[in-house]
Amino acid sequence: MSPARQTTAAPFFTPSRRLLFGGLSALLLGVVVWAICSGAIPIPPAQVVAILLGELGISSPWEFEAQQRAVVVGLRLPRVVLGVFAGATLAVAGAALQGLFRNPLADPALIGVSGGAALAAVAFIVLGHGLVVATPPLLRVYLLPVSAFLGGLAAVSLVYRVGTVNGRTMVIAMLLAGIAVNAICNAMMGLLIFVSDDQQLRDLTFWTLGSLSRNTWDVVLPVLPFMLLPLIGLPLLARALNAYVLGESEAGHLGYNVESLKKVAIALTTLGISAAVALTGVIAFVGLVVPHLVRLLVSADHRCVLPGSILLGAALMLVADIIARTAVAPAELPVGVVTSCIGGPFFLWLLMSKRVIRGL
Amino acid sequence: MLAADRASYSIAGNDLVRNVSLAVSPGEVLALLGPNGAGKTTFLKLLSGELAPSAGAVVLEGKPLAQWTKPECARLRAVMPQGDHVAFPFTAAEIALLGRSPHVRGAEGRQDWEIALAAMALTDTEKLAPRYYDTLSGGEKQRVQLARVLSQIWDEEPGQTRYLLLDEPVAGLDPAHQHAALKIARDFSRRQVGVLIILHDINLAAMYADRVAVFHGGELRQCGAPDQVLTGALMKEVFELDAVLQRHPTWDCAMVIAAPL
Repeated sequence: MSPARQTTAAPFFTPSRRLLFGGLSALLLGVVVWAICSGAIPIPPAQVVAILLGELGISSPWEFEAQQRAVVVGLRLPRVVLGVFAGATLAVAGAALQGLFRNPLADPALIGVSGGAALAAVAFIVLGHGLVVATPPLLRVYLLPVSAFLGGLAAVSLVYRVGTVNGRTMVIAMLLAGIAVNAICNAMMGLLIFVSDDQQLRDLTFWTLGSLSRNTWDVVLPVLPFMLLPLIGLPLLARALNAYVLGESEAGHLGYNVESLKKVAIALTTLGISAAVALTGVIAFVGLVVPHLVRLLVSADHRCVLPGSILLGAALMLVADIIARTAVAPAELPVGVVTSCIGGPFFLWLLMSKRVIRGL
Repeated sequence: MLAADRASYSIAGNDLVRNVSLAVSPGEVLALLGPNGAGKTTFLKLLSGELAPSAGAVVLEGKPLAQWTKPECARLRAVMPQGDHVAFPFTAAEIALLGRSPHVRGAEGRQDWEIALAAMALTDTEKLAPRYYDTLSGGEKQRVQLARVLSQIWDEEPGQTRYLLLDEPVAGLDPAHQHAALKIARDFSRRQVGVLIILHDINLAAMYADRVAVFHGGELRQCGAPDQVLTGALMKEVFELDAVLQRHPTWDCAMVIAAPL
């Protein structure tokens, strides 16, 4: 008697899953090229591909002008790299947090990282003038990212402390503490906005709404490793997160060390989200919506959700940024406005179609 | 042998379990009986290692439970809890397959799927395999969870003992499935598995358990063969029920018939 032969259940990499992963990878690649093509000076895809191959030392039949190369390599590429990393990091961090909190509504804002990082950044913009003057000019570009990073770290540490009783981390307590910390951060940001001058106000709005415009190589490159770590590390936790859907003690009975899973997952997500917020500000909905999309498209198995969120998060962030750059050209919308405008109604539709609610 | 030795567990000065020495051995079904709040679930959590005893010790195969690594432990003892919420749209088959986690490196192979599905066939949940777990009824969920813990300790290896700890596994099941689940537990016990089950139905315990242990107020009141332990006096004292004890008309076991209050 072998019931396996009669059912549809199959090993992990089913043909449909392969197809979807292949499709998502192709989608990301296509969107990357599209993002580099579009802008104030449109550059045809063939030239973009030729320039990119040229940078890798591969010759190609298409010719391009030096000016085109300058635009692609100096302006558009760093922005696309930033978009890919920020989108992927926010999405995978959101997926991991949803798994960790066993709550489909968890997102990077929930454990206080975004709030803490944003507050620190806003405080720096409004009150940090003395700090800027005291810092050597070369290092000034790092001041905003570093303060955002420290703010995110401080908020999570606080939330983690409140949520930890007798060495055990209570996920529900952390979740509630995160909501409180976020409320406090928002209130304090409101206060700061109240005392800021006109120029600061402009910087603030742009920053709190999220934008990929801080996109020069010297700003982007030093922060990338902090996003790379969670991008590599979080997918490795997939099987433990699968067991975790049964509950904390059940995951323990299946042989997983739940306390270290929580610590590692929270550390990696904090690192990634703080780094992303430090460069781009608060970009809403990517971390919330993308994991749900992957669950609908592929499977709720975290071995699909985590890598799938990386691919889809990066692609959607780039699409949002293309819209942000081109919709009101030559001006530019904050990308967070675009993600919220698309993500909000889309999420409502998901909720109304009851497919997400099934998971609640 | 999975044994508690004068184990106690207290929280904020209250003894939930007091000085209990009780062991479950491969080859037997041990049923824990007792009124609500008697300390049965807490005792099961001490045996599973989820709680550490505040006094006394829990020993698995002669080695204190705390000295076992979690993965080692997970390969030879499975625990079925009372709760059943799953936050994401996992299918019933994926839930059952999670039982194979301790035995798998990387991705599950076909053999793991076959075991999970065989366990589902055993618990009559095979047809539910492609359904989303959260759309199942309470009883169906319990049977899927049973399939999960069975697939966790499925492999029979010579000299390898295994343990199954079940907290009210039949509470939400219809009568036929209650008997089916307990028959599975008994069949597993005959294959070198030590089974500990928390039950509320005393007659089911009398039919399927080799030994029953009666808890009352955090203490182990009595332990032994059902025929010896289950008496009218015990029913009155522990459960506060007026009950008559009879022999089962067609089966060789005791039967408790309670009088209405």
